[in-house]
Amino acid sequence: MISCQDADVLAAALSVGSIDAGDEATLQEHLTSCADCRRIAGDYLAAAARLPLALEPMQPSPELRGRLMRAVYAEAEQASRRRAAARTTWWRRLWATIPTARGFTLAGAVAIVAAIAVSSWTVVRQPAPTAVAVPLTATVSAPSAHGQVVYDRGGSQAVVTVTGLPAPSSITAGGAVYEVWLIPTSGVPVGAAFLSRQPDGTWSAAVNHDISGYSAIAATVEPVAGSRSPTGPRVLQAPLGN
Amino acid sequence: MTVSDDRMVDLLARAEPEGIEMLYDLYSGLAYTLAFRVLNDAGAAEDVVQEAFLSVWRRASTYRSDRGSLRTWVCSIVHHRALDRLRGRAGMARRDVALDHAPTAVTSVSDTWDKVANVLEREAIRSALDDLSVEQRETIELAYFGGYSQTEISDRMRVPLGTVKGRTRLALRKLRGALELQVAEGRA
Repeated sequence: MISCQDADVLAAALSVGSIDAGDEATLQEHLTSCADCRRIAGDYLAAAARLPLALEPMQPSPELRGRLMRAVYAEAEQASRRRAAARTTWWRRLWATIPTARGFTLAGAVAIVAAIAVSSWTVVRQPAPTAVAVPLTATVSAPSAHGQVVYDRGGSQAVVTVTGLPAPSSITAGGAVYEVWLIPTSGVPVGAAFLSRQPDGTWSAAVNHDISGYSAIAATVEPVAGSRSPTGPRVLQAPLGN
Repeated sequence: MTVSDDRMVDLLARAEPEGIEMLYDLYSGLAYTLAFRVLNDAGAAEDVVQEAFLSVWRRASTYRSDRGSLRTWVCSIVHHRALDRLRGRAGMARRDVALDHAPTAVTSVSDTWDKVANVLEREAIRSALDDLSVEQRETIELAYFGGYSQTEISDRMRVPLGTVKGRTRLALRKLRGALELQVAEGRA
């Protein structure tokens, strides 16, 4: 374990992005257990973040705002549709299956009868709960951990609850937080949330994210500010079946 | 946290696109200025800014105000992504232009930018930088904008690694002091 004086030096380097990889792990380990140094590191980061203010200000092209907001609104709309679909009751879905011309035509009557029959059979076979609970599997890094992720099928929110997890720093040196990742079938994992320790010793996280497009969820040990991609040991995981 | 930050945090926590719009309008200029300064490439800088704001949008629920302001959070994400891109770039050509000789604006300066990084604030940080020694300032610039590690800076400046670490720490302590002073004056 390094001294606070050494941590001060490394925190300064971290804030300007020049810290060497080995030193960063050492620093993160110290920050896990030293609130004073965490505060100083935060102050350094805030000071460094002001450096761009000294530059002559520039602006990106106006098109960039449009590209960004199109992507954001598309994701928001997709999430909203999924939430709405999850809230739709079975009889509304049934009504939607009936032809638009819902008059007293023979075709309409036949469609109604057929739809009711099909829907009743489907409803009986598949109660279709709106909430899905998936157990999380522990790994060798934290064998006593167990928990679950609960989410609305097709929804955009999930809750992860875990018991039996030790402090992140006990899993690996430099570990400070448990970060939750959504893992697509192809591509890179997406950081979705951090597990928070509750007063009763359990851990939980609200994942405010559309998880329907991901094939698995996992939690890893990461440095205090989290990571852009998983770097530490995986402690929990579960397939999402998407 | 400012009133604007409060409002944006609330909107972002509820996954409202309006939150990211407000955030973008406030900090896109600062983000782009930083990314361009690191990368010296308008296209790459815009890519970094877009990736950074999308990351903020997707991870808004993880933001904690007790860990720093929204501006600090955005700048940190942009800085990390810009350095990642710079360090991953084949045959990268780093820039060593001093802050005073940074490129002038290639597009117009918006009212939004003026609201956020107004002249007084810019002058304050420049004044704090002026108080650094030439060596401290160069060390900070090579690290923050040039993307050099401390070992690389040591080689480049031909000084021991310990000297680089000491200069970085002293420079950050001075900047932090200037920041605290400015906050105190703002409250006075």
